[in-house]
Amino acid sequence: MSGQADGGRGLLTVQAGGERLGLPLELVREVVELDGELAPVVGAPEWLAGLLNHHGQVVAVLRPAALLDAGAAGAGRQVVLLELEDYRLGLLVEKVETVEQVPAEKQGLGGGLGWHQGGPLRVLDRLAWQRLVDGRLAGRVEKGPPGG
Amino acid sequence: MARGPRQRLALASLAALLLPVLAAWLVPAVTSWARPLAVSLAAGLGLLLLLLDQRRLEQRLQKLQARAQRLAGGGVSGGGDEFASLEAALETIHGNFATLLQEVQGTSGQVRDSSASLNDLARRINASAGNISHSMEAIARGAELQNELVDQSSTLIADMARSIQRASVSAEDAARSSREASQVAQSGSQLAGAAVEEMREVFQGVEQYSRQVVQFGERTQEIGNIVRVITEVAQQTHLLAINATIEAARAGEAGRGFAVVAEEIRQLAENTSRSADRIGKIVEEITAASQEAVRAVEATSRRLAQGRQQLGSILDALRNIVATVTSGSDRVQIISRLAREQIAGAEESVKAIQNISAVARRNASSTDEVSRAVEAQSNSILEVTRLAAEIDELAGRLRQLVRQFSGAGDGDDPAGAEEGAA
Repeated sequence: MSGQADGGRGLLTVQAGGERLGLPLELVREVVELDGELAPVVGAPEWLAGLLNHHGQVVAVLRPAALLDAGAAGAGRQVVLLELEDYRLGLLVEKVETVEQVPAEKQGLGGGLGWHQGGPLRVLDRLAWQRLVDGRLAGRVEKGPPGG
Repeated sequence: MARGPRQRLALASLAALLLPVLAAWLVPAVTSWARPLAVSLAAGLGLLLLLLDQRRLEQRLQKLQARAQRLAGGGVSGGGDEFASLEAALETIHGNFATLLQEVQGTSGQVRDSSASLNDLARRINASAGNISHSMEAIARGAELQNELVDQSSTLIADMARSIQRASVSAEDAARSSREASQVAQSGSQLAGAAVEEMREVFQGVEQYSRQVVQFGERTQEIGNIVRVITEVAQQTHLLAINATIEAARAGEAGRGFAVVAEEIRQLAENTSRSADRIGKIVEEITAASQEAVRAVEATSRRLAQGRQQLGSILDALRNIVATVTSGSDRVQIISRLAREQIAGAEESVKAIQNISAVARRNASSTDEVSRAVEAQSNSILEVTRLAAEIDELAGRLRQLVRQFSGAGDGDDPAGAEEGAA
């Protein structure tokens, strides 16, 4: 969980929805390959891809592109499991690139855009995720009963 | 007969008279005393001559009498007088002579008759010789005409032979051309056969190639399958490595060494994945190319099959051409042979006609000879005629002479009889 020993921290870089995302390693629990299809959720919003049964735990899998209002969502087969403070969620990504140490100055401010290894990199930290998910869930709650 | 001695006597008396006068006149220079002597000498010489002549006259009369008696046949004897016996002998001679004349007259008449009939015969022979001559001339003219005709027909046949020879040469040319055409067609046929054989081999090669390409495609697909498996393994490895890295990061300082290993594994997996991707692309390209190749080979095979079929029909056509040309060549050779035979026949005809011509020329020369012989014969007959006329004339003259003679000897009766016969 420390990860920022030498002025940088470990990031898992993935491609999702035409964007390159940087995920702090302390949030990442595991990367899994989809074996079958996700269990669909009736009336689910665009950003909710479905539900995944992971070792007996039900995890909601989100589409980062829809969540970020970025480009069209790709057909990913890999799910990155994030471990936030009080819940887990899955991110459907097209490709898991690598794990690397990125200097703090390149990671942008507060989950902003940065530049790394010849391309733009959007680093989303715990706070950013909480805001995104809470916002969506709040919007969701306003319209109907809260989902798991 | 009495006249001769009498004249001699007168001549002798005249000489006895004249001699002295001549002596007197011839010797004026002699002395006058010698003149009477000379005259009497001359008178005496004249008398001597007279006596000598008388003597000789008698001797000659006797000889004449003896000769007349011999001529009369000897049996004549005069009455004693020399002149009377001479007359009797002459009478007998005259009788004999008249008989002889009569016989000569008869014989001359016969000669005239024979000469006339000879003349007649000669005329007839001459006439028939003329006929023969005319016929011979006609034959000669005919032979000449025949000769001309033979020359003409010989020329015509020679022309014909030349024409046939030209035809023969043309036929031989045609035969040669058709033989060459036949050979060319035959070699074409062989070439086409070889091409068909080669094409079948090519066809087999193409089929084999096609099978190989298909096999190659199948193998390539197998490679693709393997590459997919490798790619999958690499992705899983990659994922595992990422997860290991994540776990190592969670382990903090304790997991740092593991994190390095996990990263290397991840990189290996990524490299493998990239290589597998490239292999997969290459396999796709190869597959596409081999499919293209298979399609091309299939198209080529179809075209080859068509080509084979066409070559087969070309081969058939060439075989037909060979058969046709060969039969044409055979016919042309027959024509050529016939033309050669005709030439030989024409040459023989020319020879035969030349033989005829030679015979005609010989005939012409023979008729010339005959004509010459007939002409010679005619000349001989003319000569005979002329001789007969001459004989006739001679006989006539003989008759005339005999007539004159018998007229002088008062023997006219045989001449009259002979005149009636003429």
